[in-house]
This record gives sequence, structure tokens and C-alpha cells, in this order.
Amino acid sequence: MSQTYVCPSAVPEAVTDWWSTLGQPRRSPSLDVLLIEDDNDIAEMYRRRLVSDGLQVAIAEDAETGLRLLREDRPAVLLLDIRLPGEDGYHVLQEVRADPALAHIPVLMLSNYGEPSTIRRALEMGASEYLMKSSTTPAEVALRVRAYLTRGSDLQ
Amino acid sequence: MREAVNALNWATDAAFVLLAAASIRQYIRHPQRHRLDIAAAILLLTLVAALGRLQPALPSSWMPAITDLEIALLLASAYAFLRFRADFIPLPRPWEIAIIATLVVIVAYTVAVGLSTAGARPTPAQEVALVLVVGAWVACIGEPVIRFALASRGRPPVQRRRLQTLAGGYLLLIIVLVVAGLASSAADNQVVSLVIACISLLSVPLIYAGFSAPAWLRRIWREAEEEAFRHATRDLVTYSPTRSEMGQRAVEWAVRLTGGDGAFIAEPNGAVLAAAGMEPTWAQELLQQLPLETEDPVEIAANRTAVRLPLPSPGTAPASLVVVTGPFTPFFGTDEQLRLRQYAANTAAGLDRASLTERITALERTKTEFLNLASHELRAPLTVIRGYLSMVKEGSFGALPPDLSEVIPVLLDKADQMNRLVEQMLEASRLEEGRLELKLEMSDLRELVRAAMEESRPLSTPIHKLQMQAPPGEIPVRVDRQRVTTIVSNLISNAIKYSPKGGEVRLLVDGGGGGSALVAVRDEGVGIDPSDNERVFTRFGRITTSETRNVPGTGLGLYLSRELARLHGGDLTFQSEPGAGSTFTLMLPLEAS
Repeated sequence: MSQTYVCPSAVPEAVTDWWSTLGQPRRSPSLDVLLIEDDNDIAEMYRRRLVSDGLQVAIAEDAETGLRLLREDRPAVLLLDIRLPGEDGYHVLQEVRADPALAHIPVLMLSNYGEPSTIRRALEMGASEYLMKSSTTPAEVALRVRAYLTRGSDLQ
Repeated sequence: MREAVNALNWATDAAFVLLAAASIRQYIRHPQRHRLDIAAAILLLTLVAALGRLQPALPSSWMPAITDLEIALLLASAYAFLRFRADFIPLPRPWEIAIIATLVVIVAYTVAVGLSTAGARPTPAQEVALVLVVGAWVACIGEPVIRFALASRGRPPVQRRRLQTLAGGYLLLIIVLVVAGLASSAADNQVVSLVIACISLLSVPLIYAGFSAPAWLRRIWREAEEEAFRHATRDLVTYSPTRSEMGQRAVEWAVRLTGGDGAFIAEPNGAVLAAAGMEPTWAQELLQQLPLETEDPVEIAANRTAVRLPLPSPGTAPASLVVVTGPFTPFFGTDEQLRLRQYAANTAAGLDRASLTERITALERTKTEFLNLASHELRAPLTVIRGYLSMVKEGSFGALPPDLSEVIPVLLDKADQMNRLVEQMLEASRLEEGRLELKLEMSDLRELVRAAMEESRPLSTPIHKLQMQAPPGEIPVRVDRQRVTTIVSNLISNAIKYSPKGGEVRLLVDGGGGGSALVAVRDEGVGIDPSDNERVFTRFGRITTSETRNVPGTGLGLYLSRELARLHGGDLTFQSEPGAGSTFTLMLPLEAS
């Protein structure tokens, strides 16, 4: 990243931190989870469960919207379906891992594709976890999200 | 020596008479233009020889006229042979007229000069006439000989040998005429005469084999290809993935087999399935001309015949195999026709098998696609149903009235069950497509069985008693843990389902038996009627009795379990006594610990 070059080490850390956020969309501190899912009923179900846990949730119905929201709002955790209209979940995953500003976001794949090759591909591309929608209850999803959120705050 | 030459000359003349008779007989049996031409060529040549034989017996005053007649007959025979060639390789009309004119001029000149020398030295004019006659004859015969020799290349064995033999026979005649005619002084030498006599005698069988090869000779010619053909026929019948591929190979072999020029297979509706050596459009036209089945070859054009044989298929109208003769093999002998009939029977069987395979393959593919799609599409709504039910159960929507809190777990259980069925269908389709990959890991079989028991516990009711008996030591196996657990829990759930009156379900785990680890699941349920034994492991082969009619299931469980066991190098077997219960035994290869 460019901040080390632009800011001499004499500059106080608080300033460099502030400096590094300039020119980048500000991370909305409130968005915990972005869910990219084209099935409205499924999306709404997970949203309800996560909201009831007190989390801030946004939903995107396709890859394009999802990527835009990712860049604008910087969610703490991304829940990502594979089968989407237009570009698929793999594309989003690739974009996220290739973008230094987003690469740190844990990505939980949430799909009904169960072929071993599909799962392997997602994990190799950098997915943090792969969950089969039909055999995962919303409570389990919420539990996994919580785990990532806690881990994230521990790091901070 | 002189007697020997004399005898040989007599034999040659006799052979030519027989040859002429054979060629005329051929023509009478199959009156076709090319047969007439070859018969004329041979007959005229025989007449020349006969006149030579008669000469000494005739008055010497007839000599000049006889000699003129001989010359005319000789050149006429050459022309007839050229006509024979033109039957296969058309000769342009102007050429033909020019050739006839030249021949007539030569005959006229020869008559004017008079070749009869009566023992005196020939005059220069007579020598010119002699050279012209021999030259014309050699040209008329030589050109077709070269043509036939060239045309023989790259043809099926029978055709090739035939053309080569015919060309060879006539080549010998050319040699005889050139040597005897031009070097008349040499003809006085007894040795040369003997050689010439031998050569001309030898030409007879060659010419005969060329225009009318006997069946045994054709068989010998074909022998080299016989072995390859047998292999091809076997391949044809037992292995050809599709009907069109099978058809293509079949027609190619039909052409080689008969020495024909082209062949095709037409479907009952007239569509050309495959064609070799001919355009499909021509094949279609030809099909209209031919009766449904031909007893003998049917003439379809000048010097071309075709045979049409039905390729019967049970339950549908027959397809047809049509083989067309070529310009160089203008007819099929009975031998070819017989072989063609046998071949058609094989081809019909092969085509039947190929279309069956095609149908099955298409069916399998559709089914697998359906299973994949269905599984995926079924999972989406199931996700929502299970999801919300689980949320209702955990109180996300407030406290539940007591009745509802009893009902929700049942609903959730049913949704789980459905989810498992979808998983089974998917697993079956993976298995059929050969896409199923095992994730092999070292495991303790006892642990896997315990996990399976935990999974199945919700199924058991108070009337069922689940018991496990295992040795104290580890039972090491290298298996896909998830799948082995699924197999065992499937066996347990079957044991429970098929014990509607309750009883004990005993799991016996053993690692002692000759390289195999065993899990036996024994129940005291309804058992399996021996008549159902074969259906137990078949796909969708569910066994129902009056007591177990309402047992849910896809009929995939046992099928999958056994296939998975076998993929591990193990097996799944059972023993049963109706009314007393069943024991299913899973065997897995034991690993050295």
C-alpha cells in the first residue's frame, strides 16, 4: 500500500491512520454481514435470524450489486451464494481476494451445490468456509458469523 | 520336341474353344453388354486359331482368302476387347470411330498386299502390313491391359486379383503375338516355339479367372482379409457406441467383403444412415428404384447391379443394406451373395444392439440430469422450510403453545428426512456418472459405528433396543468416514423401520476375520421373503409387506450402501428369515495398524 511511501515515519500514527483512509470509501462501522443471495426467501430467512442477534445485515441479489456494497460498506463478514444471476459467486470471491481493501473479509460460502469438486474449488479460491444451505440451520449460520466477528474484534 | 510343341498347340486351341464356350455361356446366363464383348473377343481369337488348324486341310488356292479372313478376325477380336474395356471406362465416340477406321484401313491394306507368302520371303509391303496388324492388335489389347493393371491398385482383394489376372492373361497373348508374328524366324526355333506354346496355354486360365473367377479362387483371394474381417465383424456386433458409427463401419466392410464399389444402409423411413463409396443423395435415389428385397442383383445402370438385403429388427420395419457393384466387378457371384446375407444378419444384430445402447445411454443421461436438477431445486425450498422450522423451534418467533412445540419437531424431522432422500438421489447419480470420489482416511471402525448410532438414535422408539458389541481394541480401516457412517446408520434405520413391532437391534463390530473388518446389524423384524432376495440391492427395489407398506424411503439406501462398500473394496451382504429378522453385514478391508 502507498501509505508507507507517502507518510514519513516521523508522522504520528494517528495521522497515518487517518491519511490511509483518505481516498478510500469509509468503512461503515455498522455493517456486520453482507449476504449475496438471489433467492429472496432464503435471504430474508437468514437476515431475520442474524438481525435477531443484533447484527446489521445487507442483502445483494447479484454479484454486481454485491461487489458495489462490499466496496462501499466493507462488511465484517460476507455470506456468498454460488449460483447467482449473471456473474457467479466464484467471480465475487475472486474479486474480493484480489482487492487488498477487501481481502481480509472472511467469506462463508452458502450454497446448495454439494459436489466435492465445487466445494474444493471454492476453498482453493480462498473461501473461509463452505456451508450447505439445506443442511445448515439459520442458527448455525449465525453461530459461524459470530465466531468470525469475535475473531475480527480480537485482532483489533 | 516337335511333338511336344504340337501337343501344346493342340491343347491351347482346345483350351481356347472351352474358354470361348465358357464366355458365351456366361453371356447367355447374364446377358449384359460387357459379357457379350469379352465373349466376342475370345470367340474371334478362337476362330483365328481354328482357321490356322484347318489351313493344311484346305485347298492351297484358298490360302490368300483364309489369311485375309484370319487378319480380319484377329483385329475384330482386338476391337471386341477394346469394347470390353470401354464398357467400364467409357471411350469417347470420336476415338472409337477413328479406331474402327484405322482397323478397317489396315485390313484393307493387308488384303490388297496379300500376306500369304507360300513359303517365299515376305516383300517389304507385306512386312509393313504384318507390323501394322501386330501393332494395331497390341495397341487395342495393350491399352486395356495397362488400364486394368492401373485400376486394380487400391481395390478390395477380389477386384484387384481379378483385374490383375485378366490383364496378365492378355499380356501373355501380346507376348505370344509379338514374338510369333514379328520374329517369324525365331518361330522356327523349337525351343522358342515350345516357350510360346506354353505361354499361350498359360494365358487361357488367366483370362478365364479374370472374367469368371470360380468361387474357390475368389475365396483364396479373399483369405488374406478373412481374419481382419472376422475381427471387424465381432467388433461390429459387440462394440459400436452409436447406430451411425456402427452403420458406417458396416458399409465399409460390406464393400471390402464383396469387392463392390459402394454400399449404404437406409433406415426404414428411407433416410441414409451410412454410405461408403457413394454419395448419400445417389443412395437415396437408388433406394427408390430397388424392391424391398432382391433375390438376385438388380441392374441399376449399364454394367452396374445392386443387391438390397433387409436388416430385420424385432418390432420395427427393417432397415436395408444395399451394395452396388463396381465398374471392375460388374457382378456378384453366389458366393458373395451368400456371404452378404450372413453379413447382413450380423449387421442387423449389431445395429439392434447399437440402437438399444443409444436408447439406454440417452435414458441414463436424462435421468442423471433430472436427478441433479431435482436435487438442487428440491434443496432450495427445503432450506427455507427447515430453516424457519428450526427458528420456530428455538423460539425466534416467541414462545410456542404446548401443542405446537410437540408438532414442530415432527415437521423438522420430516424435513430432515427429505433432505437425506435428496442427498441419496444425488449420491446415486454421482455414482452412476462415475463422479463419486471417496475421501479415504485412517479411522477406527468402532468410532464410526458409534457415530452412526448417535445419528440414528432419534429414529428409535421406546420399543426398539439399540445395542452395540465391539472388541476393546481399535479396528483400523482406511475409509471415507462420512460415507461409512452413512452406510451403518442406513442399516440401523432400516433395522428399525422393518421392525414395526419393536425388538432388539444388535450391532456387532469385529476386526478379526481374515483381512476384513465387519459390522453386522441384526434385527428381529419382519425379515425378507426369499423371493425378494434379488431385489434387495437393486435401485428403487423397495420391499414392502402389509406391515411395512408405510415405511418411507427411496429404495436407494441399500443400493447405495452396497455400491459404496464395494467402492471401498468391501461388500454388503445379508441373511434373513421371514418373520424372524434379518442380518446385514458390511465388510471393509482391514488396514494393518
